[in-house]
Amino acid sequence: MSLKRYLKDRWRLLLGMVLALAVSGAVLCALWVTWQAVVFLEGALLLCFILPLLLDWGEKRSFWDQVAQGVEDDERIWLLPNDLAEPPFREGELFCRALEGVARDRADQVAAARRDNREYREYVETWVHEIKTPMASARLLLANHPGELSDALEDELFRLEEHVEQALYYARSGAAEQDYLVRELSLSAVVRAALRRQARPLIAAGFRVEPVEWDAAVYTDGKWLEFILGQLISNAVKYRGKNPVLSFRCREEEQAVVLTVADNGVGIPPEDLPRIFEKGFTGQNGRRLSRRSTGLGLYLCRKLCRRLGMELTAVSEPEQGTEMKLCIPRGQFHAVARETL
Amino acid sequence: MSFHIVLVEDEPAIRVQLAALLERSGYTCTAPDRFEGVAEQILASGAHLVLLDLNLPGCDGQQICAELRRSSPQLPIMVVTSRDNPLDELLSVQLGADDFLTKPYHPQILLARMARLLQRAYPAAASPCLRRGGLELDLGQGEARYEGRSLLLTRNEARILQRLMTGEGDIVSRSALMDALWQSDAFVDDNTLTVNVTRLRKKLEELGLKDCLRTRRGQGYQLCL
Repeated sequence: MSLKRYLKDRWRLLLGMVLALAVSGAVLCALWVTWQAVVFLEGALLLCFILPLLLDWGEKRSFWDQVAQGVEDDERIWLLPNDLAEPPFREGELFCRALEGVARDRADQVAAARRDNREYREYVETWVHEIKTPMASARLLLANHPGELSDALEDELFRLEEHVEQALYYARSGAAEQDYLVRELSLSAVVRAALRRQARPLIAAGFRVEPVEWDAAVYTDGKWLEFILGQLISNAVKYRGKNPVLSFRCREEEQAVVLTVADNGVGIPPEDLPRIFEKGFTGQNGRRLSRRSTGLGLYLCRKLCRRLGMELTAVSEPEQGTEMKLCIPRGQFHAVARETL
Repeated sequence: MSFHIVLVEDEPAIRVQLAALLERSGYTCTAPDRFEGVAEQILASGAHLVLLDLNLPGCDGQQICAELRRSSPQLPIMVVTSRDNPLDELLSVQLGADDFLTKPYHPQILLARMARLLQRAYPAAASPCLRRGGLELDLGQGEARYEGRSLLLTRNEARILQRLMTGEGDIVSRSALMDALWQSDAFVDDNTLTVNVTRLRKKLEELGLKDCLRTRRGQGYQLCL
């Protein structure tokens, strides 16, 4: 707090002082006192006014400067109530109380919201696990009673499972807790698992899958990765062209393994490309080709990727196809493993 | 010889359906509906493989798993559960489970994994066989036998024949056959399936089974034995 601002805030006091000096000067002049005496008394009076003001300014400046500094630092503002030293004046004390009160109230509210959120997430997890039992018995029932009806029902059951799975991963994607397990995995094994899972829609759409003849070791969570690949495959099915082909390629770099999932589908218009990972964004394809596009799949994929330290990007040429690139960092585990070999 | 599978599962619908599926796939199967002292029951029954659900009323599947492993280090145990928590999986494996599968699983995958576990645990035993009207399919050797003659099949041909034989003479659609192949990691397309079916038909003819693999236009294939 500058001195100028301090004095400006106290203009009434300063006005009173000037008036006091003027009145006392006028009285002293009227009393025929010598001019030296007038100057001396007026000077002494001025000093008596200014000295306490300066002392007070010094005291308040250190406190308010600390506050001003704290307010500017957005990242540490929540620490301000703890960082502030208790000032020796009343407004400061009150200010500190008020700040602490507000902070406590906010903290309580955030904690309550977090608890609600966690409980809801736990409910979703439980629900998903409960629903899997009837779905498993439905699958077995259909397997035991083959036929046209069972075949059609199995398609519907598959769609149901995909939606349930998405709900589960959506609930997991926002959680602060860590519920993934990073392990060494064979990337081609995860790709094959995702293909097995998505076999029905891929076969029904007449896809040709280029053989996966490579392999690479990656450190990540297998189930999460399989879910992400499932979403990418499901998009390739939704936005396919004629004679659809799906291919998985892998490139090993110094710092990462890059998996490319490429299709020869309708592609993404260039104006839509920067927005495909936004929540709720459906784009021209989503509106034109798939009436049920929710704009959740890719949003969720990128969110899950980032939680696992992976990066998902897209390259696309309209009417030529789309390439989704998944960059899986090798991390330190890998470096350690290679050093010990 | 047919393998004896014990199914520890608390959901009655799954118990009945899974037992039916296993019987159709050439196994014998028992499924207890009470779980007190189930570990001793299993050991006494001379089971070859245990399918174990972790969520059981009144007792803990992981404890059963540990108990079984303590008394019988060789018995293959496959944990089947709807809890797809990585820590559950880790804990089960630490307690001695040989494999872990989450619901809802693809029935074909369950059967494939069971066959692999059994093969590994009992290499000396005859591999599981499917039989229909004199035709015998040896799944372990990939061999088809009929009236004393036998022929080696490729992996894909064996899978197709297996799918047709478990279909019990019903028409099996092309997509169902392709799905069966995909579930064993053979991601074939439509043309490859046609080629494989044609080859299989030729081999069956060589065995003396003329005109038994019939094409049903627009519907699929049928094995008429």
